Amino acid sequence: MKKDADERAGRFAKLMMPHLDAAYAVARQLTRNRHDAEDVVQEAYLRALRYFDGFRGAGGSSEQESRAWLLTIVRHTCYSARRRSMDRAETIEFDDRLHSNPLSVDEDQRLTIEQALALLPYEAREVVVLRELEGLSYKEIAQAINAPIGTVMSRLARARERLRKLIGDVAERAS
Amino acid sequence: MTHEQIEELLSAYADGELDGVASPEDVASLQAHLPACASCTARLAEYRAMGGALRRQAHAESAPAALRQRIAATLEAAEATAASPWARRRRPMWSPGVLAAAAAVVLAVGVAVGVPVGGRGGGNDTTAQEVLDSHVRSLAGDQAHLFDVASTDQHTVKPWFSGKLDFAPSVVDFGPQGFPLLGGRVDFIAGKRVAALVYGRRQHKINVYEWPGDIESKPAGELRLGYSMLHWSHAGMVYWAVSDVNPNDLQELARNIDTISR
Repeated sequence: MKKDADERAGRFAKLMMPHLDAAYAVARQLTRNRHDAEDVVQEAYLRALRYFDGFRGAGGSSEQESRAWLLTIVRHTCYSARRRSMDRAETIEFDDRLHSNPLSVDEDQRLTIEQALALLPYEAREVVVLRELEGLSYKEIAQAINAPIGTVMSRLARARERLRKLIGDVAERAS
Repeated sequence: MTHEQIEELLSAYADGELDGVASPEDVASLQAHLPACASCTARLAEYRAMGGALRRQAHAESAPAALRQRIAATLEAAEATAASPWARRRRPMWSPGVLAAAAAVVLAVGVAVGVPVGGRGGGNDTTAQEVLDSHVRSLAGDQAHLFDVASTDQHTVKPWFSGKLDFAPSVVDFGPQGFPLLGGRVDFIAGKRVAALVYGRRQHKINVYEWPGDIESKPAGELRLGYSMLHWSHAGMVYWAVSDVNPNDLQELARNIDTISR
């Protein structure tokens, strides 16, 4: 029994741990907060382990499949964590580095983007993350958010336009 | 189509998804409009650049090492619970047994990262693999995970470790000798919390791991998956250095470390 469990844990780690950075990146964008992101990712891995047999049973095993599967769980975990915390105010991290030390152009741009994205409403942020970070097609995004493909298109178009303006605002405030 | 209508399609066009959501006529009129419209052309370029910038932003930061370890420990604890026929009895998360087991999973994680594990019999071989895994992990992505404390000042780095480890690591900036101190972090090797110090060597990064150990040993080097590794013990401390530098550079750094650690 113990041995079986060890083997299962080994298989799970081998398939899922390579996607930890991607999971953290997605959670960080969705929660807008590193601390919450860590909690979400940890919970997501536990959930994933619980459902792992189902994933393998469904024939999942490729790197791409396991990544997509894990990131879906991360997203659901973010969603339920968000609902749990609806009552209390969400904490958005604001990095004061942006307003203090001289930064490299790269770092400066990263912080600007991070803050602009954090200012997008959840639904807009979600489609941006699905598209740009997870690299999903419109069809896949439509399935993920359970909406028609036309909605995916217009939501992404609006999100991008808002993000473009927010990036301008944030950059302006920082300078 | 009007300019405004076309603007709304630019995002889908940037994604190469326009065919699925717009009629062939709309696609054609967008393609005809673009070369004539500087504003739409600029916006399209901006959307594309934004995508790249978003990905860079997200991937610049890898998951914290502490999170990795916590997940490994949690998974192990969950499996241990599952192994006693689905008895959902909670065990304390950080019991010594779980920690030791976590180390095993951390090793398994190394396998998952794509680094083959050598024979697991010899203690040193396992340690070497864990050290190499840690080094590779610390550099994967960006420098985000190279340090918990990023400083070239030994008087900042050394006190940072106090209270985090049960020993005082030797922290010296060897900048004048060509190995500037870049920072440090606490890492987890062979089931122990260890000090990891990061030194620069030209464009390269060197991780030096340090923890207490009794047996004195001369520096012994090896090449593993193209990385130079060197380990030795001196004045009650075990050291492992790993990098993609020339092995002689590691020998030189080892000599520098030994001169300061009495």
